[in-house]
Amino acid sequence: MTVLALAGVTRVHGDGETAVHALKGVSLQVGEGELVAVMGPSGSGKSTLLNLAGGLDRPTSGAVHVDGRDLATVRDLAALRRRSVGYVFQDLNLITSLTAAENVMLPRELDGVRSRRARAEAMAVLTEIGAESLADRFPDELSGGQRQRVAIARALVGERRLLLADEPTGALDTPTGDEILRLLAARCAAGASVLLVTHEPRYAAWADRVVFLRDGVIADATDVPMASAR
Amino acid sequence: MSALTAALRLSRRGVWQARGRSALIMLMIGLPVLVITGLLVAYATSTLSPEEGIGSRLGTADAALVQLPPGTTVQEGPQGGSWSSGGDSPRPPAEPAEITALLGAGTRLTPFATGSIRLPSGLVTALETDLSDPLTRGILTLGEGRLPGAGEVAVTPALGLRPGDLLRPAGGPPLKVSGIVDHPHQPTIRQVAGPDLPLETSRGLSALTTEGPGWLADTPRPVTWDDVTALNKLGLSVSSRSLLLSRPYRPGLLWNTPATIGVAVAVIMAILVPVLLAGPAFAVGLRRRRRELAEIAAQGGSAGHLRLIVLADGLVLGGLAALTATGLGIAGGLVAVPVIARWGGQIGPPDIPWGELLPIAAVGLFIGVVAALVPALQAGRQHTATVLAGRAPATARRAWPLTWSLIGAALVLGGLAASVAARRQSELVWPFVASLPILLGLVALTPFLVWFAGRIAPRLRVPLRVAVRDAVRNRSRTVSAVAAVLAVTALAVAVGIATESQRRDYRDSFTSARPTGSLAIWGGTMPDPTWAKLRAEAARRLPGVKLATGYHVHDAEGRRYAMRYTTRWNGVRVSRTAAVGDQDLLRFLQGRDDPAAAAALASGKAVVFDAANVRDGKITLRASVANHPDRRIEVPAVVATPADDHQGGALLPRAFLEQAGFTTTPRALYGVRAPAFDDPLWGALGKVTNRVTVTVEPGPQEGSGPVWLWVWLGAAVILVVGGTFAATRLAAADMRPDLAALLAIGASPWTLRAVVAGQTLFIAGLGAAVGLAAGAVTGIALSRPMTTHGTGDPATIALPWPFLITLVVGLPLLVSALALITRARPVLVRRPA
Amino acid sequence: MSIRHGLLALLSRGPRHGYQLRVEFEASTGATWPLNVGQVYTTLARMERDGLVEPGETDDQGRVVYAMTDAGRAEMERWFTTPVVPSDRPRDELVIKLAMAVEAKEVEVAEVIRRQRTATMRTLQQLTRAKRDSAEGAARLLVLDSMIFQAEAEQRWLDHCEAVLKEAR
Repeated sequence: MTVLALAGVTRVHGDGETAVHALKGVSLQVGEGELVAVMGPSGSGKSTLLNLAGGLDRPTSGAVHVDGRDLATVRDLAALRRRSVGYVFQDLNLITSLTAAENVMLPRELDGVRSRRARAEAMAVLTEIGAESLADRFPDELSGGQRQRVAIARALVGERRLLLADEPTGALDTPTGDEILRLLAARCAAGASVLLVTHEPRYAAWADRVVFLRDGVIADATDVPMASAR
Repeated sequence: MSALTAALRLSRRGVWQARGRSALIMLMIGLPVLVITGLLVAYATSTLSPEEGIGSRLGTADAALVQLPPGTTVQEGPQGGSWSSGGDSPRPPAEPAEITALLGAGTRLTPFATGSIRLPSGLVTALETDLSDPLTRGILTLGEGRLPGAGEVAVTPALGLRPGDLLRPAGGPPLKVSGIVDHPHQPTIRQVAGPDLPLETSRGLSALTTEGPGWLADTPRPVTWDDVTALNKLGLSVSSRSLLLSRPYRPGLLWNTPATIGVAVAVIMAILVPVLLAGPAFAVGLRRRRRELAEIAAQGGSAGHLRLIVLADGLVLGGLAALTATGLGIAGGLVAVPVIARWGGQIGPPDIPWGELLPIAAVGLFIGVVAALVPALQAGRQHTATVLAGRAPATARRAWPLTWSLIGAALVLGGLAASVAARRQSELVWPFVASLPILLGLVALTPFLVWFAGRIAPRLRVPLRVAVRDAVRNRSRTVSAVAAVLAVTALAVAVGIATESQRRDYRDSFTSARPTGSLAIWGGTMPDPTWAKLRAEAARRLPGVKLATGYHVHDAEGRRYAMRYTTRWNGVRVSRTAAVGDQDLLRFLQGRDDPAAAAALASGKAVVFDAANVRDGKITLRASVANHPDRRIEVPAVVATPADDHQGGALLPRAFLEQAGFTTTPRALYGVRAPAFDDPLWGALGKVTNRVTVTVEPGPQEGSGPVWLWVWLGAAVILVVGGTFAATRLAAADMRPDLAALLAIGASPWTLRAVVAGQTLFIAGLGAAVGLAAGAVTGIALSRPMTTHGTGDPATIALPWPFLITLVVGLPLLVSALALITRARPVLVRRPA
Repeated sequence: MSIRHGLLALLSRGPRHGYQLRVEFEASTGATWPLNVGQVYTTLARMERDGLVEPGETDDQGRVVYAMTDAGRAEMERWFTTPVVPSDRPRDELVIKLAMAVEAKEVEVAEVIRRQRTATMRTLQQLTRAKRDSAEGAARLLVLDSMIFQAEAEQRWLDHCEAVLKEAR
């Protein structure tokens, strides 16, 4: 089953002579339990792709479907991000004034779930990824890797199956980065879908499928989904 | 020195780079400077020095002479004047020849009478003089038309008349408007001038030496004090040009008695509040520049250099703010004066009191440096390697500083004790002095208060929780904003309570012996037929009005007695004269039928409205008569309720007085109707006899309180709104990454706004709540000396609820609402670096 | 690096026979260096000749168990204490191929790079999968990491080539 589908998506920033064509007709599908990595140099349109996939941005043309729903018809994109899509960024991730557990609770609470239940759900996710001991610490008391773990937990809490990760390993050393990818791969094995944007081959290689983005178009892909081997 | 140059250059660049934040800091430093500068300029411009004002008083004359009423003597000297009335030998009015003889040959006099005329629209001040006489030049200037001749009049624009219109004053023939004239300093004055006016002069004490017939004098030599003494003997009050100009002039009502409040408010507001408001801005700036400073340290900058760089920020911003604010304040003050004058103020030549403005501008600069002081000290302490490594600086172990909190608590307790003690002082300044330790103590306690209030965070909904947590964690920013709101609120509350108490006390002090809106016609000594004519004329002029009759009391020798007693009203001794009359007068005084009181009156008892004066069923009166000692009379009495709250007095039954050997004659009429200003009644009764006084009971007048105090309060509100808003914008800018993360998680834009608004609410709400408590203490302490008049007068303490609620509830909600509708703009789409 | 040094390192844990040595060698190098059992015995024979190992008893299946001599231990220590010097330039076919592609006519260099990059990524994915699935010791993981880093370097070099050629065009 396809969780995320981009069909002929283009995105132009600005107009006239200063128009920047960030994406020029990209089609991409992410299946259930699949980890897809998008690789490309700076300015190749990676982040635009991710922003479009989560509804942080709207395509100039083309369609984005999440869980079979066309985002063009979705009015409350914020609710979509609370319920269907989770984001993990390299930085600007955790709210500094909330504890780890409170950060993970946040999407659920924003969605109207009562604090007690949200906390229970948050603890469940944190336990799943082995971060329950971090629950009551504030972000600036956590290491970079621990922060990303909490961010992943926050992206997964609730019923969300699609995780969009933008350079989640950017500020980390390679063993810690490998740990984060191991965690993402494990979540995929457990049924989640991950779209990972990175410019580092070693992390892209964790993906079932790697898509090369060059100047707003998909240049190539390691097409045979390795997932079929599973 | 070169280090300072480099620091100033860095600051200049930094100020330009962070334009938004710099503007906010400048706003917070500049606002009080601007407000105070504007007020001072407006005040200096709207007040007139003797030189500025003399033209409108004397024209080009050397002296103005006012004839006092017969029987009044006056003595004017360098130390002021004194006058007394009721002299034994009334002298005839002064003759021009007498005056010319006194002032020397060559003296020229032109008649110049001041007073008012009664128009359909009300009383209007009037000058009866020949405006074409060169001596009057400068008193009124002709705007259009021509100067009035015989049977004509010139009017000011406020009367809304055109040349050619007719003016119909009471008691005189209609006058034709010949021209429009302007008063040089009071654009809204309602005044008429002409050579022949039916002038009325109010001969109350306040107007004794300013209203009445008189002359303008052109003398060959300056008028001296010796001349004044001689003229006084002729019954003339003198305003001499040379003497007025030689009198030392002290400008600035701002520096005298009721303004001790103003000075205290100004000092506290002008220094404490901006420091508190600008402090967090510098702190945020420091956080932004931490890395830059660390790099400078890595290049060999010492801690002293880093401090200098941050202080230079304060110097640059404080200097710029002071300069801009002074400029804008002067311009604003000058622009505001004509606007204020349109509401009834006066306007003089533009006046810029540099002597006061320069220290205030210097205070602005000083504020900038002081506000940058704490961040500068922090900058000097920062650990370069930690900052360069991008690690967060170590946070304090305790969420609130113990020592400061203890000092704060001690100061608050000391201030409370001092306030209790200051309450007993009569000087206003002591409660203010006592309020300072409370205020400073609360400022020192604010970190603890913020921490304590922040403990509710886990129980709040998400946006508020994020807001409160962020506010508590960013203590340096929050604390000073809260403290600033606290200080401003406390001052506003204190001044508000004191003002309201004073206003209430003023209103409560009004008392009268007659109901509001009633008419009284008092006859003097007159033969009975005259009274009968007067009575008939009044009845004719007041058709359908039930007139109650009052009586004069005489003894067997025909001496007229007044039945007086003294009562206490709102703590002040008031002398009352008991009315004498029957049931109809009782009904008039009570405004209704009161069978119990009526029965008591019928049985010969006095009906008394001042309950405290009836002891053991009796009231003691002093029967007084001119040139004889008073007699004490005890009258059986009952207490009754009058028509109005403010009413007092007593009514004696005629029967009792006649039994006591007096005779009573009807000489007063009372009716429940206030005739209009232009009612022919005024003139008609005067034509019957001049021994009649007609008066309308206006009822209590609403005092609006000192205008300047309200202006201060307005400024306080601007400061709270401006300051809170500025602090919140800073917080919002600081929270931008958090807001972007919230957005990515799926928070709606309204949630983001709610976070920002929540922080505003926390800051303003906490500050206002604590400020209310602090201000109430000072306000109540202030109310006592402001509302007691001598021993035994209880203090009036009135809480201006609408004002307090607006300030403490409305204002935080207002600034939160402002924050809610202002776009919190997070980075919507993150661009790759 | 030679097989003999690897075998010496394994023998430092205790006497082993040839087959055992081969299995352990492959396990710790992650099957990246397949050894023929004949090569093992040949190498052991040469080492015995050089006095680095000595044959011991024969086990119940008739296999000779070898143990390390003092000379062997010294040789092993010398090996571990000497840093590896990159000998001569690797005659990497890919490098030669790309260089020739740039020089040659009628060859789309970008296409060559693209194909190679996808292939390298597949290799990288396989290595990563191997790493993910391997539960065994650290030595094997480090060997896999080494190959991952090499493949990554190749990938980066290909990206670099692409960018440079794009600029040149």
